[in-house]
Amino acid sequence: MAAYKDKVKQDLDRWIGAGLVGADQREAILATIPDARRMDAATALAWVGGLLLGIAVIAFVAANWEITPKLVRFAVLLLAFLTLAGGGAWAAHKERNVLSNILLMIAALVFAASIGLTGQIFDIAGDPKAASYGAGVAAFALALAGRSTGAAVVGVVFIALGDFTDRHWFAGAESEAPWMLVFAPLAAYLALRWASAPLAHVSALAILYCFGWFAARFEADAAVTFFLSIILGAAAAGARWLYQQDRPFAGIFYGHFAWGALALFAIAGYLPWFGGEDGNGGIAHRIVWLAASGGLLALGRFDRHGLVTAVGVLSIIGAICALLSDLGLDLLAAAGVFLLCAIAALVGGLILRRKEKTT
Amino acid sequence: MKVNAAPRILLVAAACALSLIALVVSEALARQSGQEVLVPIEAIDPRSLLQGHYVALSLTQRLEPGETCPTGGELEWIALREQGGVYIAVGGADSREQAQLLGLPVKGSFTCQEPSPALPDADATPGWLRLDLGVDRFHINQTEALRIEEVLRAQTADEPVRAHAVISIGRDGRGRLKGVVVDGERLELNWL
Repeated sequence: MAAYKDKVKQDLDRWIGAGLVGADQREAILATIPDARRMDAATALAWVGGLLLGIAVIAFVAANWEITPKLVRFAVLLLAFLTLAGGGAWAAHKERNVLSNILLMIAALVFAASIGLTGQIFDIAGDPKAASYGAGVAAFALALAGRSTGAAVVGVVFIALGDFTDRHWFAGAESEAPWMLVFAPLAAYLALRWASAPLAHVSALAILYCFGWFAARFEADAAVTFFLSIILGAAAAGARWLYQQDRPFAGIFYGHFAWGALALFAIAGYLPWFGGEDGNGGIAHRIVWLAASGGLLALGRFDRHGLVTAVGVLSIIGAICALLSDLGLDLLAAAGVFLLCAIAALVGGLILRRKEKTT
Repeated sequence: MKVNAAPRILLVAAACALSLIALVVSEALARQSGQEVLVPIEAIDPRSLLQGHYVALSLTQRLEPGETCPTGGELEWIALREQGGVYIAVGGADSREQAQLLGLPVKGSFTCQEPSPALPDADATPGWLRLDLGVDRFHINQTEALRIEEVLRAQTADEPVRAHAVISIGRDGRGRLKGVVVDGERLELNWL
């Protein structure tokens, strides 16, 4: 949004210079474009300091464990957590949103540590998965109560840890559903609602993890993985539409879903179809992969989206490597395939250029 | 009715703190009310991690030459039976009811290796059966942990087991650690 406002400023100055717009209207026009929230150095340092403080509290409590009676240790944990949460509540009351966000994030971390340390203090043999889920749910509850994006990120991380603990991958239909299926969409919704870039990145990756789980659940079948890549591609298209509507942070989902869709498509080409033995999609798959990568690269350039462009470039490199590997480094065959691809790209570019000129 | 952020945060924080207290109280009650059994332990060593010192427990019973491994070690329940003042595993089962037919049921699994007989060029070696009840450590101060380690390192395979874990088996079938007994001295978990 800030980049957009800067661009409008430049354009306005040019239009005023050309006499198209009155100079007196400049400020009024610019006032209609909201300023993007940018993190300054002081805020960034406050975040880092807050995070380090949380880690320091955990390390300090652990280092002095032996010399304190059990009930006192437990009371220290509860007091630390309640003090931080109380501080977050006070900051929210005073409308110091950044401070409230940081304190609630640390409170979520301290509560997660408290679960493990309580088990240690009283020798409670716990389930690590349940402990991680408990910490994640508490972090989400704090996030929702105080509109804390930091606590929400902590929540996603702990739910992911719970999902990854004792998980049997590729266990087919027996595979237990990850909690992320619920919490990843919730985090994405909160990221868009609260306009948080870190939460958007984390939730987009969590959604990709859910797609990975679906692929693994169906025993890595090419058809299923291909279908999932189409769904993810559709999600990327939806995020792109939101991005074009200038919805803040939709571009983050667009980028992550685009690389996820392409990655699933690439993987699908190496998996067996419908439970068969043959696990190679062959040259046809690589050519479609190459074409899709080229299309994504063009789209990334068209949308001025750095991540999508970068994914397109990396994917082209991957597709070329895969194709060369399939052709057994037969240079003549490789030259023929790449010539066809180059002609297709040139023709596509010319058609687009002609269409652009006519409109 | 819209509740402001501050009271919302305080409510959630209070609920989190209460849930931790409830966990501690319920576990302590279950530990106190459960049936107490003694299980032999071996391979104890003190550890120092960020989380403090503890004694790693390996609930292991020896199998003398001629003894065989019980079946069903990979199942979800274990049947324990008293033998000479301690409880040993006599088999595994799919359900609590099935385990109850064999002995005292407890949630968990076990791995087992049978003893090997004496061969012309090798002595007979005892086998072992290792219980996995979810109890694998006993938090204790470093001095005490090192003292226990010293006692147990001196222990040999021919003499009787000198260390036992005191396990409380609750109504839910879960085994909870109550303490350890080393050379007749009982070190129990308490609130302090």
